Parts: sequence; structure tokens; C-alpha cells
Amino acid sequence: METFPVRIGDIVVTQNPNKLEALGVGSCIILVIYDEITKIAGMAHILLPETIKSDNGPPGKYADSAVIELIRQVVIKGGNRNRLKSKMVGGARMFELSSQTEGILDVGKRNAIAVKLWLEKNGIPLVAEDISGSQGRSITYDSSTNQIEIRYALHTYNRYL
Amino acid sequence: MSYDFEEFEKHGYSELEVEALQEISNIGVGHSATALSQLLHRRVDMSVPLVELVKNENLAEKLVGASDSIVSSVLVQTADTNDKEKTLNFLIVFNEKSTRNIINILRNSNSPDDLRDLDEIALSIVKETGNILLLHTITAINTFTGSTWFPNVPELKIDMIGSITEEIISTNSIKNGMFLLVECDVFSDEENLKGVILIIPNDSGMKVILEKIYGEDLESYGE
Repeated sequence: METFPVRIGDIVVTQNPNKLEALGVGSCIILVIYDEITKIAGMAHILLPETIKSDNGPPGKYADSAVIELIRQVVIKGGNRNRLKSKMVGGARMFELSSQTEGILDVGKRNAIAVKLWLEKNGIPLVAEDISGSQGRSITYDSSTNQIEIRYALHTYNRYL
Repeated sequence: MSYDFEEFEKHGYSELEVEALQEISNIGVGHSATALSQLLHRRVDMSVPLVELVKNENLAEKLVGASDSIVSSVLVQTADTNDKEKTLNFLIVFNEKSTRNIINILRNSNSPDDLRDLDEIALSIVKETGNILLLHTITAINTFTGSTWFPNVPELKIDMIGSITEEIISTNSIKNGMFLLVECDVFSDEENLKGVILIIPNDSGMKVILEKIYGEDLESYGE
């Protein structure tokens, strides 16, 4: 069993029992989409709610492209489209006064809302989430148990989804 | 040269813009090192500031190494007095050891090993130290460029460096998903006191800096 890092903008899919890991997550959303039966699963590390064309970033970076692309890759590796489910973690607000150019909501919240919207549009049920708050999280997903372990910097306890 | 101009050129920066940033960081961080030295009553040195273009995604690792390293950071946001849309943000980052050392020196005692156990006074010490260093940087920049960046209240965040930088890069990335990092180590020989200052302009903030140095007619200097 190996552990694969999933950095900002990455989409990583595994067919075999492995761990997918995102460390030091703040306002980003970590989205896991999985097929319970075959245990084929993938993780996306999403930074922004909407694609910025001039950015030239990978599809995994933006909610509007990441969700669809993650579904596509899980299905290509053998996941059953009708059985897919999801879990999400992140979307924290680290600083109170961050300059937010789009009105009242902070980027963490906007990411969460965008991801949920795209999951709904694609008919993928969200079965668990650990979002918002003001703390950083490190996230490890084990595809063999379908469990997510969430570690916080300043707590001694972990959380499991 | 402390910057890689080819990398900048590839992403649409002119040599003029990069040199301006280099000058500003030299001055800003120099003032900061002096302030720290006065605060702590010991000699403080600084490395030559490095002006770099960093891919957003690599920022945390660039600063500290592992994106889940726990650091203390102080964020001071500033806005141009004449146009609040133009912003320039400053982030100073101390690693775990430096954080504890700052507290120990200023409180003249031993702080707990774990940053989780810091009391209100210790937190205050870190916030104020970071704030003082950043205010000196801001003042130096205002003096040098004749600009009027006005600081907001400082915010302290102790958490993993990756988590801290994610929000900043999502709200401040400029020019093709590359992040402008002005990185400088401010350090003291006697103790492990290493601080890294990140100067984060947004696009219009950058224009203000350049206009102040080169005059309104930036077009005539164009390359």
C-alpha cells in the first residue's frame, strides 16, 4: 500500500488499495469520489470555485472543472458511474480580514458551495463532510477502508469520516 | 543577481518591474532587521532578499519545506489610502523554533515546547513582534516609493504553513497563476531566529509601486 500526495490542482485516482494524502489544507476543498464495491477512488485538491482562463491551471484546481474531471477519471479506471459517492473536507477561513474581492463570502465557503453544486448537478451524493472552521487540516484517505483521517495542527485528536 | 530574470520574462514581467521589486525588498527588509535587533537587543542579520516567481502550488514548500510544518504567521493587509482597491499584503512567517525563541527572549523565561500550549501573553508577544517588523517594512516602502500604504490590524495565525498560504494564494495570485515572492531571512546568530517576509501585491498594487518609482508614464519605459 502506497501513499500518494495530492497537491493543489492535482487529481489522483487509485484502482488498488492505496492512500491519497493532502497535507496543510486551508481554504481548499479536498474532494473524494469513490465506488464502494470496486474500491476505485480519486481525490481532487481544489483551490478556487471557478476557472480563471488566464491562469492556465489544471482542471483539478477549479471546482467547475475538477468535479467533472474527477468523475471521468474514476470511471475510466473502472468505477461504476451509478454507484459513485463523495466526501469532502476543507474550506476553512484562516484569516478574518482576508481581502475578499467577491462580496461577503470567503473563498473557503465559496469553494464548498461550488463543489456541492457540481456534485448535485452530476448526481453524486455527498455522504460526509468536515468543512469550514478556522483551522488547517491534513487529510489522508485510505481506499481500502474508504475512511478519511483528518489531523489538525493544534489538536491532539484526529477526526474520521 | 538574486533573481532569475528569464523566469520573470516568461511570465510577462519587465526587467524594470523586477528591479523595482528587488529595491523595495532590500529597503523594506533592511529596516525590519534593524527593528528586530533593537527589539531583542542583539545582532540581527539578513540575507539578500530573493525576488522570485513561484507557482502558487509550491509556495508553502518554498517557504518552509513541508506544507504541514507548523509555523506562526502574522498577516498585515494594507490598502492605498487614495484607492482602497489597490492592496499590498505582508505575511511574516516564523518556524516553530524561532517562535519559541522570540517568546523566551521577550518574556525572559522558557515557553512550552508545544505551540499548542501558548498562553494569551505568549500569543500576544508573537503577534506584536510580527506586527512591528511588518510595520517597519511598510514604512520603509512608503518612504522609498512616496506611496501611502495604510496598514490594517495584524492577524496572528499559528497553523500549518500550507493551510495558511492556501487562502492567500487564492485571493492574491497574479499573472498566470504565479506568485510573487519576496523572501528574506532575517536571522540572529545567537539563537535560531528565522523570519521570512512575504510581500504580496495584487495586480493593481503592483502598478502603484511602479508608478511611484518611475512616474505615471510607465508606457514610455516599456520594452
